[in-house]
Amino acid sequence: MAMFAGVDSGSTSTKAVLIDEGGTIIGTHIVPSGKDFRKSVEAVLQAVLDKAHSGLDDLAAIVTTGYGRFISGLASKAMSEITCCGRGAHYLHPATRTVIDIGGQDSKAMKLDNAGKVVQFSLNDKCAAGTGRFLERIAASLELDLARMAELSVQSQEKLPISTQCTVFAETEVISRISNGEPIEGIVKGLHSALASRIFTLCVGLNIEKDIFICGGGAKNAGLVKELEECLGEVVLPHGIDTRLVPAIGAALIARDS
Amino acid sequence: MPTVKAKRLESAIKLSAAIRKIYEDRWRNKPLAWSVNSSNPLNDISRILGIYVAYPENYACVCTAQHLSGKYCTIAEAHNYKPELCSYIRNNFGYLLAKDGEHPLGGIPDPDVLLSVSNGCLNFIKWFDALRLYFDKPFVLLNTPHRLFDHDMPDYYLDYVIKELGICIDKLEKISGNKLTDQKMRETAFYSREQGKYWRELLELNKSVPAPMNLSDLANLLFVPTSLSGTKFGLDLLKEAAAEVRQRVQNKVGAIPEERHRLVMFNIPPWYRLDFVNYFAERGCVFPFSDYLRYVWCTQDIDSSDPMEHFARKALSFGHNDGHGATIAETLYSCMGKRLAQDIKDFKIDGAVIAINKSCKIMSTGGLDLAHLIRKKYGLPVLVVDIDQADERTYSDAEMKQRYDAFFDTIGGA
Amino acid sequence: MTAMEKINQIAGDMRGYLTDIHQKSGKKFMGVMHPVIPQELLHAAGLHSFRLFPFPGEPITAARANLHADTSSMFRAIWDQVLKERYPFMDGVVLSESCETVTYFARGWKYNRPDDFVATIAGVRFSKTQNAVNFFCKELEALARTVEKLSGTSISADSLSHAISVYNKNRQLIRSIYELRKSKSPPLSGVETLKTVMVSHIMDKEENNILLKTLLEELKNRGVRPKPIARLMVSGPCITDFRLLETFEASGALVVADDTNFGSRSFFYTVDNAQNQFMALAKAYDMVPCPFSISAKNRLAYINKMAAEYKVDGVVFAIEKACESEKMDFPYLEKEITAKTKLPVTFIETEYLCDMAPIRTRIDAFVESLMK
Repeated sequence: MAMFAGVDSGSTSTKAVLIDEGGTIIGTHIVPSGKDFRKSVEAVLQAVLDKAHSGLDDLAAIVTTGYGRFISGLASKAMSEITCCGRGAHYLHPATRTVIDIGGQDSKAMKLDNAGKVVQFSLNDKCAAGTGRFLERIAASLELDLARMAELSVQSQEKLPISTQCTVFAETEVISRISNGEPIEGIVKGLHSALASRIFTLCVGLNIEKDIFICGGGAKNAGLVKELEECLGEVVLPHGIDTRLVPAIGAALIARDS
Repeated sequence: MPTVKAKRLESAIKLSAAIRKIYEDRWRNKPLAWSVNSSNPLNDISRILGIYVAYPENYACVCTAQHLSGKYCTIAEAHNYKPELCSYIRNNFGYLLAKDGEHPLGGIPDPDVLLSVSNGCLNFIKWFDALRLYFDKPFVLLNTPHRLFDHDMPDYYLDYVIKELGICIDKLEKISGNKLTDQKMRETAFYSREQGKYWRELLELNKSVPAPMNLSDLANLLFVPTSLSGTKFGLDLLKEAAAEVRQRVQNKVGAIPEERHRLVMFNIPPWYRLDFVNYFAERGCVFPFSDYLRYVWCTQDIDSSDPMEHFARKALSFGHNDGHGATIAETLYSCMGKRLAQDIKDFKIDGAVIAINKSCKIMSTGGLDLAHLIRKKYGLPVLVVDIDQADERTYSDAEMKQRYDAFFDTIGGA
Repeated sequence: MTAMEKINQIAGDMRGYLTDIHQKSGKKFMGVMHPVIPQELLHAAGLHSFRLFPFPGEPITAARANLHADTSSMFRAIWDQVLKERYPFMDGVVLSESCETVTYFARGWKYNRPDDFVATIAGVRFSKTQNAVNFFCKELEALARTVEKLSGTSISADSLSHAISVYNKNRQLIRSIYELRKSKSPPLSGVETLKTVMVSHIMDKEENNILLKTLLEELKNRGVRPKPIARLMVSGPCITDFRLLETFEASGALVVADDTNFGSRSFFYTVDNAQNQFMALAKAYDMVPCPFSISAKNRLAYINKMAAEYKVDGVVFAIEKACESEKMDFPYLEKEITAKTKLPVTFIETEYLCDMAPIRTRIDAFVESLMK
């Protein structure tokens, strides 16, 4: 049976998904992107093929997406991660009409039609404050990992607003306020709420429609998801699959369809 | 947190109560215009014609002071009003788009007409154009051209504005169904002129040591020239304020307990954190003058015997006049001449705070050159900070205090 | 060398070209900011005028001393290059009451470089009354007297009439080139069009008219190009960076129309040479469809008309980060174009020297969404 690959070459990680003609996912793999996109694309593709006991020659088509999508030279086609993400979200949850992808470097919101095609989209403006990087920086300065920060946020009964928009300034503000005795849990909840609010801003102009699907690295953050639910209502998350794989799934499907 | 608070002027307290009444009472009337807080003669004229005038710009300050700017700006940005737009505009559209929920002072009722003047920034026009498209209401704009350099303004500038004013008046008379009377015009022009005199007197009184008013007092009183221009009520308030301040000068009552340093502030203060002056006051620093209050409003005494000419000149003179001819809504460059040198001397200034305000290019362009000038030519310490006037999300207490504290060290361990 | 080859050659080194012709021409050169300044006056005064823009590829360093980061990066880049003497051929500049940064930094220019020859004019923003046109006419007369001081040549009725004819011809030729882009398979790309207009903005207009006539003939004889996967219209302020349109067209789309300061806004009008010329210039230039001159509603009509004539599939608003006037119109335009004109719209934020990768992501996604 023919196999198709989708590779998402992102700024932080490179993801690969293999599917068969029927659209069943055969294998997935994720590697850190490092500084050489070509190497990471080759490495992830090799790894996912190894898992399926196959080689490059077994692939009927490859579609790449993400910032490094033009670099590898391996692809039959390169597509934007927005299109791929929409497609992947629709595959995982066909009732999806709004997709929010929270990455380390950017956040995207997409409106889909009932075939999974992106009809409108919006990305964050030049600013880290609406991306995963915002939380990563602050987690590092608080000497916490993201999972623990998310836990504290979920558990907190109190939400202390962090209004400062600038990621760098927010970091200073957080440290200063904790030094002044404000509870870290409340502050962390405030941070997640601030990020959720900026992500919500991206979506409003798209006339949000249910079902709302959240993916990307940010979808693993329970604290952020909870705050997003406060803004958006009920949301859907990828089940049984790494939340970062959605664009790669979409890319594989496009490879199959082309 | 600051523990020192400047003594508020009684007249400023009275004004605050009056503002509340204006919002809750006067602006509930029809027909209602929305206008800019500039030297806009259309404001004075509309009142004569029975059109009430409300100010979304002032309302943005109110919302900001009540810490709603984060909410409103976020909503506006979600509707494509990008973060680079003036925060007054984002506050305003955020308020309009917020729909549900309570709004400070009950909000402002929708307008029947939009008024603007081009003597300030381009946003005065673009904002109100956007509002008239939003509300689908008439838009009356008084165009006053910007003379880009300091040289004598040719007569045809004034002729042009007088004629444009006439065109605007025709439109307002049709909208209101009323006609302007010469008597009412003269009276309004008279009050406008007199208000200017008292405003300038207040500014001059602050040359005294100790300074009888701090930045926040004058900023509060600014409501009169911006929103009560041409009214007897506004004039009476300024008269009271002037009398109160004269008394303070006589009794050597200062706005802050222990005045050790006198600073000048450039740019619009952050309306959500006007109490930053208290942090400075704790360290013996008072702000006897600011460019926003001294070089922008009522800068000239304009004869009111010919009301049309008075209003046209007033619109054209919005901004600093350094004696080279009436100039319009100036950048900082225009005050970098003799006038600033004299004021630094007369006000006994020993330091400057220059805000670079993302929302206001008109007040920020030139800030960097100004900082260099003050440091080099006058040898004074300067603090340059990024402060947005009405978007609280841009302000971080911790970061700003770090900068303020470093500045205090440079002006001699205040 | 074909006309397009010549255009490519000049566009490849516009600073070198200007330096070269400055040395050879013997004329004084004046840079002009924005399309609201009638360059006909400068031409009639015996000056060579060119539209001022930043040369690509030079990081902004020196300008940071005077202009903060929230001002237009396009203008900051110009100022940066002025400070670094990258315009050795520029003998003077004309600034107008226009966008915020230019209006409020005109004084800054004089303050920092008092020996530069800087002429200014006030505008009549939004006002289209006869009174406004009369005022603007007087400003143009004053500008004429000022620029005559630089050139040492008086402007006569004949020289001004001639200049207007030359510029009208130039505008008409550019419009003829634009007309070709209405076809299903336009003979030239958006990038080629941008290069053509940029060269027009720096070249002597009489010489440029000859070049454009030759180009028109060449284009009519060009072979049929593949039909683009999407026809785009670009709306925005001062788009002069070829990389931007190259990125847009790398997606497979073709930019067939524009609503930009260096593009159609500079060419889509004619000055009536039959009447008082200063008045004719005032009337024509008062109507230039820049956001600092006209209402968003009028802009919408302009965009809609062009979108229909050029049969665009989508509109890309490519707006410089600090450009408040364009950003102020955007919410209204986006809403109206999407809901009533029923055209897809996307927003792309640009800055001088910005990285094209994020832009490529956005444009690819947009073009992909347009594909059936």
